[in-house]
Amino acid sequence: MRKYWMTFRLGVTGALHYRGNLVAGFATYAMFILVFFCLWRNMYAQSDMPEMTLTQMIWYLCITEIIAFGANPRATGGVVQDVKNGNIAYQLLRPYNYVGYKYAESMGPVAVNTLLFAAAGSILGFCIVGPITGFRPWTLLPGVLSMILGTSLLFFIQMAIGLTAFFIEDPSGIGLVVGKAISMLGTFLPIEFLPAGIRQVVQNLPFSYVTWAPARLMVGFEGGLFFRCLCLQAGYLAAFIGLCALLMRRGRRAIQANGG
Amino acid sequence: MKHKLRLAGMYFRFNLASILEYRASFFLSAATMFFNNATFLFFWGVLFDRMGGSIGGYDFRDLMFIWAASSAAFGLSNIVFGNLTNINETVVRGELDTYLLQPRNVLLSLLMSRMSFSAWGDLAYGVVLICLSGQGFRGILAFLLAMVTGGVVLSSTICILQSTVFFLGDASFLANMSTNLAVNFTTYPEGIFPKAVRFLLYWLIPAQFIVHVPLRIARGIHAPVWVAAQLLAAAFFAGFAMWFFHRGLKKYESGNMLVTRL
Repeated sequence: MRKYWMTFRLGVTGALHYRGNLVAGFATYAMFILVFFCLWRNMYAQSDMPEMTLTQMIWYLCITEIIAFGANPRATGGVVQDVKNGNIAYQLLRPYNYVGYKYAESMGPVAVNTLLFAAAGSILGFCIVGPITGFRPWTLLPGVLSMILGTSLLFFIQMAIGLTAFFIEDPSGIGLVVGKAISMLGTFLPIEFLPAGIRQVVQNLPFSYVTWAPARLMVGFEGGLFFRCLCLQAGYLAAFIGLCALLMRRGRRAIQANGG
Repeated sequence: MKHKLRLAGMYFRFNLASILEYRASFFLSAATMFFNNATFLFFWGVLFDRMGGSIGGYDFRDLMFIWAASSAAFGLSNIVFGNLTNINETVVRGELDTYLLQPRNVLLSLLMSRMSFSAWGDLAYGVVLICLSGQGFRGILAFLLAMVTGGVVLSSTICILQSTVFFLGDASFLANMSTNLAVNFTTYPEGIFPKAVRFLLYWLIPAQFIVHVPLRIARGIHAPVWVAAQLLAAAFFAGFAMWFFHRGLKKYESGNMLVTRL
């Protein structure tokens, strides 16, 4: 475990060095939230929405965008590069599990960026709409647990897509489709706002459990919903870890290494 | 002017031939960008359905118009001026010397030195969407006007933001934001923004002249006045971008870097 912890710490140190990109990220994040605020304020002025108050909605979007900006491991690209340029053969010789190493390496920057974006998002949320009426601070804990599971689920989904590079030339198309599914089924819009038929399907798919579940639990905690989300997140996480292990095992057989 | 147009034509032909060498990558990039844009219709479809067909004074057909115009303007801009978003990086790395040594317009050579693969997907999406939106003859003309003049305004805005590198030393912050800043406001109904923001959208981030003014022309609201305003705005922003770039260029210091362009 120690080597993975060291890899995680190296990732944290690296993330703290690239502050210029973070400033641009904060500014873009703030711009997105302000545009969403203008949109939803206009819509709430036009019509009642029983699912959430405007304050809950803005906080919901602040949280989902924290995950989209700060907690996105973006694991697919690195794995595809490793497979395409043959670097993976070199990495497999090292005394660690490749997927575990990549997880530890990604989670360092994810932890730093999530904390920084959470600070920026909290300031923005308080300035725009203030606190949520009746909010109980302890409900942040299950929300954070759900966020950790959601981010890990996102990593293993991206890793599984990346590992398909062993079998197909360019999996970026699959990555784009899955990325869009995550954005459209929970990030930009809570699934409660989707038409009933689509919602029934969506709430059983893994995509909504990346951003919707943690944000929904933080802005309006319900014990039953927490239990359901936790079970589904853990179940999907186990399924994607298994899929990654299977793809790695099959992929190893496809590697041809020539010494020299 | 004739020489510049000839040079632009040659750059375009050369870049097109270059990307067609990688046909599979080209079609994949264009198709994924097309799909990426198309998913946003789902988001807006759900919202419009929920709101009874109107948000911020726009109906779904208006929204299709601004998405079509925005995608096509962005696509055309990045097809013709594919290197637009790399000005900051080129200057920071000291690679501008290569362009300065050529006996042709520096800005034109810099902007047209590459063509974006995925921008063809944006352009195709814009054209398909405008065909599906059921616009009349005036709507199609307004779309074409938006595509060309909106593309000029969009390119000029990004060029100005990227050219701040000459004054700031490294404008990565503004450069990274430039495309989002220029495009983000063009894909939402104008009516959702407060008046102060709308004023900024005319002059600071000119999203109005990329999609919202062309929509007014498509709707037939004081069309001749807005056509004139649109053309003047495109000329103004293009002129300002060229002046700003050349003003900044005087501050450029060579890094004596040897670069080969093949």
